[in-house]
Amino acid sequence: MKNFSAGLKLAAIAFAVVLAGCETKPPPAQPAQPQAPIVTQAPSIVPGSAEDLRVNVGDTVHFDYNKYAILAPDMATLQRQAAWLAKYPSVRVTIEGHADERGTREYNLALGARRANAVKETLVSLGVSAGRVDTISYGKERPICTDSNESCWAQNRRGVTIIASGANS
Amino acid sequence: MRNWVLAVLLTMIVAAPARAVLQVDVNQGNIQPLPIAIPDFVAASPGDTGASQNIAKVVRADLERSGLFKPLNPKSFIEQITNINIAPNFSNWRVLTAQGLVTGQAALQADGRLRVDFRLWDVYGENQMLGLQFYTQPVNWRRIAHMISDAIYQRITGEKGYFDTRIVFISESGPALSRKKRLAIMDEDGANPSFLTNGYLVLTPRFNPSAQMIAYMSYIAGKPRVYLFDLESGRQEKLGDFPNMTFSPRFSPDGNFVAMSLEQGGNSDIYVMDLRTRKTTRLTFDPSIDTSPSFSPDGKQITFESDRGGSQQIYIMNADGSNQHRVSFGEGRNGTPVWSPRGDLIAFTKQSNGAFRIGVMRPDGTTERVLSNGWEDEGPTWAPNGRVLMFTRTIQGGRGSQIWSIDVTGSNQRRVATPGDASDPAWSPLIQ
Amino acid sequence: MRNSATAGRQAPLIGLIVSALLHGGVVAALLITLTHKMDFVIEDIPVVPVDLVTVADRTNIAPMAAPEPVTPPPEPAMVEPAPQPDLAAPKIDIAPNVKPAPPMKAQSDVDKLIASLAEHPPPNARAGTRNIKGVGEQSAMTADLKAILKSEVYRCWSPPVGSPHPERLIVKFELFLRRDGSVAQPPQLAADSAAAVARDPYMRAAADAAQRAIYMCAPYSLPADRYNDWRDVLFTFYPADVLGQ
Repeated sequence: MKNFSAGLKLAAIAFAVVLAGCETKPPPAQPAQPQAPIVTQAPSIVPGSAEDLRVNVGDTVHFDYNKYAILAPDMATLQRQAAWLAKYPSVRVTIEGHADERGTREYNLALGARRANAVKETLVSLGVSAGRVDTISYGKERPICTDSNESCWAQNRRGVTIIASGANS
Repeated sequence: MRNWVLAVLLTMIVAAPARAVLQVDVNQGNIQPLPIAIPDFVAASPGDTGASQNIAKVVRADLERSGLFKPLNPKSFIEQITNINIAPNFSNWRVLTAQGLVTGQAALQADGRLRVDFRLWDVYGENQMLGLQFYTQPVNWRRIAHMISDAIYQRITGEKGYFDTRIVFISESGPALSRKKRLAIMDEDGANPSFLTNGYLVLTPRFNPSAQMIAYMSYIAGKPRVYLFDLESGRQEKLGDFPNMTFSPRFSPDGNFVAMSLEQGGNSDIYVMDLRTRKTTRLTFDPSIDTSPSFSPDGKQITFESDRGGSQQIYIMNADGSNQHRVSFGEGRNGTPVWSPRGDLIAFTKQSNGAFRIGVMRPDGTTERVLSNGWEDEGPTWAPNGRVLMFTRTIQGGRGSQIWSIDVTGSNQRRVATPGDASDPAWSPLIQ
Repeated sequence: MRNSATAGRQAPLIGLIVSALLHGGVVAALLITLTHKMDFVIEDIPVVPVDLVTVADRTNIAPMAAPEPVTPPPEPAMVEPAPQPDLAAPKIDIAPNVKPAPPMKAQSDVDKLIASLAEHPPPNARAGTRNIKGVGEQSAMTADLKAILKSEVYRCWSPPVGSPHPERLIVKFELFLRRDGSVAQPPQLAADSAAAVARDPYMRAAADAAQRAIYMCAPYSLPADRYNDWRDVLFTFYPADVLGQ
């Protein structure tokens, strides 16, 4: 489990790197804060927090073009999400469904809803109460990568589990 | 019919020996924008604050933008119009190749109103084709100009104009990864832009038939739902109370109904709501994506898109949901059907060979023509005369969206002036 | 350049004025009903007096000794074709012997055609006229004239595009030409066209476009020695053919 978790972190970092590569704008400059105490708590993510879900569990699954079936590699992610939700029963989540830009706007809203619902149904099948899971579709309105190529589109075709309430902080 | 044939035969027999009429069939032509001269209007009062020049300028721009007219450069004019109640010297305009001539004057009245007169002349036929007079508050001079453009357009082309109209659209700003989208409205020529909303994601606005109400989709409060925006009061109202996403709202031609999609458990179906009773009727029952409805101009049918056959295609049903049948059988995927106000065509988005383009076809699916040539053109909207389309053009590589327009013949493709990036245009009816 | 429409212009002008007033009235009424909210008042303004048009026109044209008569000059006696001996069977294959005029794009082509037709008149063009009256005979003898007129007028003709039913917008204009090829008086709409123009604004726009074409491309270059064959012309315009619909 520990190895797995480390591997996941690596994957998350790799993913972040990919994202950074995608981002064309430099990140907003941080104001220099030399006087502030430097808090070095990177490894100590609060269990049951949004960061815990994102980094240690994995909040995102991906889809094939114009499809909404959960892919085999993503089943493990959803199993971890279900286990994590079982561990923190007060947490409620919203599943965001997203599409790439290669679809018309309203069709993509509907497609995003299909994807979000596919994630929700999978979580429910893994024991999560349906009442704890909401869905929302953003269609192609919230890309995380804006290049017009397949690798970028693949990143945008996604379902993301977001904490709505009840998380530790 | 037999009588008619008989009459023709008789005429031939009687007339043929007496007179030889040379019968010439003309079935070739040379389609050109109509050269038209529009001198600055005569300033007929000392207090003229430029309306006489500005009106002529807006009329020239309107007609030029249509692609059907070629307003001539006023610097080339020989004759200066000083009195619009005297016939112009037509030969002075023929040498400029003008076929039409517009003369006008603007005068502030004692009561503070602006009076605008104009005449449209046939330079070759040497007669007045049109003469109208307008009274209004001076602040409305721009609408007078558009009304003049509409009147000229109608007289020359035979169909109603579309210059005195407005466009509601989504104004886009900010970086590509965190786009700010606001509901915005402007005149058809891009003048008088203003924002209606601020902050939260909004999409797919549509006018009601009186152009006073806008239906659109908003993510306000984190829940994507259909809303109504009353332009007169500025009031916004959620349309119905549904547990899940509602989207793609469209008014019926009488304004009493809104057709829209409601998503439940990942499945989107089309419903229609009676705005008077708020009663909702479900029209589609397929476990597929059914969305983007559009009423026929007579309100009796609805065209929509569905992927029930395996891919996104265009269907038609009766307004009560009966007789659902597919009409698009062309290449690729076809969606976002919009019925022409004239009834003769359905405009749509065609996705094939890696491109999204605007096409039109007859309502029976025949005679498909692809009009635009962008990389990602989608979401057509018709001018109220069914003659011109606007649509969203997304530029490859996350470089934003623009509004473009194109004539239904496929000519005159041009970008519509918007303040910044823009998408999801919807054309108003002629303003009331 | 047409600049001599004078007498005989009154009647059609009055018609046009009435028509313009009526149409303007319709537009105005429509606009008024639609604009109650916006404080717009729209009215017709009177048509500029007809006299002014005519007077201005007269004073600006090159002096003319006498305006052309309104009605065409009296028809010269038709030259009777020489009586043909009664052939065993009437020749009805005249039309096929006459080649349809090829579409022409440039004046030089027209000139060539005229020249070649002058040198080599269509074979059998006059044969059998006793037995074949009317259309066949005419088309056989005047195919070249038709081709010339068509090739000249089409360049000026920009029919309205984009109307919902272009196939219905067939416009027929009858006109008289002077010997110099200019238009002798305002072209007259054929009765069926006039009726359609009165009720259909698309048809009206199509008629206007056709009339502009007739005026703009005049004068027409036609062989003077055959004036009798082309003095009286009936143009039929087919917008749908141009639009390819």
